[in-house]
Formats: sequence, C-alpha cells, structure tokens
Amino acid sequence: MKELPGYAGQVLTIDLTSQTYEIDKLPNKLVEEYLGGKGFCAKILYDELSAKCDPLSSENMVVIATGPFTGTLVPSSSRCVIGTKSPLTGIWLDSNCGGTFGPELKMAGFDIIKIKGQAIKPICIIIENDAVSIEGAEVLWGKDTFSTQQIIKEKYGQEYKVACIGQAGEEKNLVAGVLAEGRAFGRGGAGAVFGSKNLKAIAVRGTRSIEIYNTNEFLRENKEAYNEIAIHMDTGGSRPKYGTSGIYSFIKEAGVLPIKNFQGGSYPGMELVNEHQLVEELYEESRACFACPIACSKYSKVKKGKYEGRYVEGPEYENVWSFGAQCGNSDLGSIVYAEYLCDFYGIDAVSTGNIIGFVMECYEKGIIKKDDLGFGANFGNDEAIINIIHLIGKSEGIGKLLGQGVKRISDYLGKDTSRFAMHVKGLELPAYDPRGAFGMGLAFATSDRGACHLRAYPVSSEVLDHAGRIDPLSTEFKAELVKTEQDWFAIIDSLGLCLFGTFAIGPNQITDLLYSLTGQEEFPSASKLMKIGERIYNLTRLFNIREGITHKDDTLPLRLLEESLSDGPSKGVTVPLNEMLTEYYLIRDWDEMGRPNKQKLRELGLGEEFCKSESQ
Amino acid sequence: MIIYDRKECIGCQICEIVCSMEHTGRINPKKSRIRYHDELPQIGKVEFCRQCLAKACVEVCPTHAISLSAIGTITLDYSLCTGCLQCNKDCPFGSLPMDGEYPLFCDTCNGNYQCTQWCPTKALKKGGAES
Repeated sequence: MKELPGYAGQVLTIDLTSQTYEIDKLPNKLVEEYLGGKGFCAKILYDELSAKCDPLSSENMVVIATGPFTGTLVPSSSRCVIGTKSPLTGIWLDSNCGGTFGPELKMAGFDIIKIKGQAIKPICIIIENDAVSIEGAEVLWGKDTFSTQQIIKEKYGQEYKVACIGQAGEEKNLVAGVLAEGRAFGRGGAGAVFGSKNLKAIAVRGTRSIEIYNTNEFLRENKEAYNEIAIHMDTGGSRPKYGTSGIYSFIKEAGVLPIKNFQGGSYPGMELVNEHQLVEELYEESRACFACPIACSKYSKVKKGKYEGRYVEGPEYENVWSFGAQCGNSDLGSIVYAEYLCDFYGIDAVSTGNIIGFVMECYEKGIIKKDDLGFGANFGNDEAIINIIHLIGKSEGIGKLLGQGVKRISDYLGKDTSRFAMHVKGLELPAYDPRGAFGMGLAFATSDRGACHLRAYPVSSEVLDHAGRIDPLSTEFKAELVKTEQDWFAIIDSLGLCLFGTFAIGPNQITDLLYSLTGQEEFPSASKLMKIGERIYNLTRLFNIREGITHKDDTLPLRLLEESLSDGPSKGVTVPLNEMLTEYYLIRDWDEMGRPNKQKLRELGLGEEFCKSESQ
Repeated sequence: MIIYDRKECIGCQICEIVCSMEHTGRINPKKSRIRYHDELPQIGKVEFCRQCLAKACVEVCPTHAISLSAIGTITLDYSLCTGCLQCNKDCPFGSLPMDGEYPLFCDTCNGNYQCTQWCPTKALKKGGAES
C-alpha cells in the first residue's frame, strides 16, 4: 500500500520557459497541514510567488490541484482547483471546476501540477501518466474552446480530458476562464494567465489506481452518503429536477434576485421566468459530473423563437440571472445562447453578464453612447447582450475595454460610475442582492477572491432553509455564520468535493469518509478539519495583505451601502456592513485593519508565514 | 445480465468506480468492465458485455481463450489471450471495455451486479432470467 491512500502521491512541476518538467513525491507535511485542492494552492502560491508580481508575467504561476476525494466514490467528488494570482483583481484566486478533468488528472498520478514561466510560442501540455510532453499549439491558437477540445481528442485520443482557453484567454481578456469538458474554471481570469503563458490547453489521460485505506468501511459510509443525498429535499429533489435554478423563485420572492444591475424595479416578462419554465421549455437531459448522483447540470435546447435550435450545457442559475434579470431580459433563448457563447470564447458568464448590465445602465444614463457600441443597449435588448459577448469574446472594438471587468470600465468612464460598478476587490458580484440577505453582504466583502457566493453562502440560512431560518435583514449571527462557512468551504474546496453534496452529507460523515479513504491520523475529527480550513483562509488573507489589501477593501459597492430598493421585502434598507465587519474581525482574531493577530497565526501554525509577510 | 436504459443515464461513471473497486480493490475506471463514453454536451452511453446469446466472441477467438462459464458468463483465460481483439471487432453490441491490453467481460459480481446496485438513477438494472 502507498503511504498516502486516497492521494495520487505525486507533484508535477512544469517550467514553460525552459520547456522542462520534474516529478516529485507529494510531501506528507503538505497533506497534513493543507489537505488538498485549495489548501495546496494556498501554501504553494504563498511560498513560491513573489509579492506584487505581475499576474500576466512569467513570474506568476498556475497551480492545479485535486483533493483526496477527487476521482473517488464519494458523492459529488469531481472537483479540481486552479490557484493563481488573479489578473482581474490582483489578489488571491482559486477557481474550482467539476466534470471529469480533475479525476483524470488524479488517475494520471498527480495531486498537483505547478506551471511556471512562459512559453515563447503557443503550446499545449499532454500528460499520459508519467509521460509529459510540451507540444506546439499553433494550429489551436485562435480556436474556440469546443474546437480546441475536439482537435486535441482527435489527435491524441478520445479518452483524453482537456482543459483549455478560448480566444478570450489568448487575448489576455481579464474575465477569461479555463473550460474543461463542458465545465468551467470560470471566475477571476485564470484563462488570461494561461494566455499570458502561451498555454492553450492541458490534456490528460490517466490509467492508474487510487488506493483505499479501508475499503469495506469506505463502501459502507458511501452507501449511507448516497442514501442521504437521495432523500434530501435539495440534492434528491429540487436540484436533480430544476438544476441550480431550483432556488430561483425563493431568491426572487425574498427580494434577493438583483434586477437591472441592482437598481431593482421590474422588466417585461419577469414574472414568467422561473425554474418551472426552464424545465418545461428548455431542459432535455440531466448531466452529472464524475461520481455525482445529483446531476444538477442540464442539457438545454431552445425550441421556439429567434434562438430556436441553440443549445447549452446549462443554463445555470447564475446565468439565468446574469443574462436575464441583471440585463432586464426575459428571453430564455437568448440566455441559452449567451451562456453558450461564453463557453465558446472561454469567458466567465457571471462577470460577463454583470458587465453587460453595467453597460446597459451606463447606456440608459447617456454615459456610454450608441456610437461607442455600434448598437443600442437598453435593458432588455437581447441582441445587445449577444453583440457585447461577441465583442468581449473576440476582444474587438469596445470589447477590449469591456473584457477588463467592471472596475476597470468604471475607472475609465469616471463620472461617479463606481457607485454602481458592482464588484468587490475587482471581482463582479454574482446573483444575490445583499440588501435582502445581509449575510451575503459580509460574505462578498470578506471573500478571499472578491465578490463570490461560494466562499460563504449565508443566504442558504437566510432565505432557503425554511427549517432553521435566520432573519435575513438582521446582522445577528452573520459574522459567526460567514466565518464558519468560509473555513468549512475551504475544506470542501480542498477535499475535491462539490458544495452541493454537502447540503446532504455533514461534517462528521465527511470526516469518516476521509479517514476510511486515507487512514490519516491527522484528520481525526471535523473540528480538526475546521482548524485546517481556518489555516487556509488565514493564509489566503495573508496572501492578499501582502498584495496590499486592507480593511478598506473589505467593502461593497456604494449602491448597496447607500441606495435602497423602492419595493419588495427589503424595501428601504441598505446593508449595515460595518457593524457585521467589526464583529467578523473580532471573531476571526483579526485587528481593525483586517490583519490576523500574531496569536491566531501561531495557533494556526502560520507564524513563519506571518514573519514573511511582515518583512515584505 | 445488465439492462441499460440510456434515457435514465446521467453519465456519472459511478458504475465504473464500483466495478473497478469490486474487481481490483482500488478505484480505476480504466479497469472497469463497464465503460461510459461521453458525447458532450449530451449524454453518451455505456458499453459492457451483455452475455448475449450470439456469443460471437467465443466463436471468433483464434486461441480459444474465451469460453462460457457454468452460469452463462464469459470468461477469459489470460494465459491464452493474445490481445488480438477479434472478440471486440465481432461483438454485436459495439465494442468491449479494455484494460489497455485485454478485453474485459462482465462477470456479474457473483450475481451481485454492483453497478446496478449503485446506479443512482436505475439506468442500469439487473435483468434477464436472474431478475
């Protein structure tokens, strides 16, 4: 038996400048202290990146990491993380993807790939177990993500799993993502980092086995976990049927669905859009990621209207919002096509929709004009949505500016547009209006990669959980909730588990599964895992502090702090962020500047890291 | 035998995982006797030996490595198999899963059919005379 059951046991380091690679043993200490996935990325990037390095230079690194659960029988355990310094935000980025790429990478024998340097010409990395080659990718350059994946499979074999960038990543568009087998490492601009390295694609095929420490226990615990998932009202009920949009009506009724770039109000047809309409009009098949019984992904095809025949794997809840309510648009066909185009060009569909809503508000206010765009762009104009995606995807005309994200567009436009440039630390807000769920405000403000709903998800307790619901318009318990979720989600993202599976299987079950898989005495209890989660979250904080982040950046767009909605359940309120933030720092043992105190760092075993950040 | 309903399949590959665990004690979909082939963005299909009545594989095997067991499953004598894959070419259901060298035949897990027990949507079911 290997020393580390559950892990592949190897680290692959590739230097694109020298076109060389080496394979090392996965260090036990890294496993003990950082578990996998996100934790691995945090430790490696903190140690090996120099402070204030240019994210699009050869100095930046891409770390791709799986977790112990990735590729195993544990339900919803397909996830794989890309960690890098984000060119969009200039701070920490971990972007996480399901599907089949992560499991294949692990079967090839690698828990981690570190990619350093910069190739002088377009290249792709081909991995088959220990055989690694760096090959020319001139023929792939300029191709969309679908063609890229297809061409690689035709050349090397259909069993290869491919992660690649589209045209947007090549152009170092800051909202470019990395697409992999129908899923996306979407947020934060990892695609631009690939582009800056001339790295078009990574293709991997693995034929190795994952060892299990105690197979009988592992099977028994998994059987229980699968049963829990099957009988849970979300994972066994609404999510398989409605996909990620199962929450749409609840979010909308609670006044948490942002409308027209968070201005609120209404738009034509908005009452028709909900999860039931998606099932009736679009969904044709359910698709699962590797080892996932939930199958929240849907294959959708448009059956009527001007987008008839268009299809997508989706649309996800986030994009039903980002190209729908965010743009005042109720045409589902255009939403399907918009999401398809984002995958085609390789751009983040959340940030892109957010950008379009911002452009539409600027257009209606006369700040951006028809001449700037070449077409009108009032809210609800579905053709404008499609046109803007083409411009961003191809980096054409004004698309070059728009692909830099709302923060930079707003900086360029001036005229007080920063009030309604809906981002935190440069990352565009996703589909939740914190004025209807205060906890989400704190979650966005303190997320380590900028506005993100997947670092903490208090809206679940505030709106979606009808049994243990807490008041969405109160600040009470929000700091504790956000802190606890951030630490626990760091564990989920390190295990290789999907957040959705954890709606049904809890921390104790997860801990038992981890032990029967790995047999590691270092992971004896959920509370011990929480400590690792806290360590990871504090380390990404130290990373951000090193890049210049302070308490002043832990904030929200002014619109959310100063403008209230004129109707709905959260009418007349703004987000009382400061109150929650002060409490959050206290609970985290961070000082008033948002820096972890020495005692906390010592407790987490981060003393050395602290000294490093002090000296910079 | 196993009955497969493509309409219910979600492409999760859980059948591959449990099959490899049953037969190798480890997780390795490439050693699984049932194999999912994706057709992005839509669902593909699984392939596996159906223990069909045609038994073309038994007949065409040039080294007589393939035979019928007492319970009607196909067994492969690895000492005789040359990996020529004539069985694969003549399989009336398409192609057989491979471990890289040899074809892999469903052995029913001693009648337990782990894949049907774990398939979350029951796209795979135990069928035929044993059901």
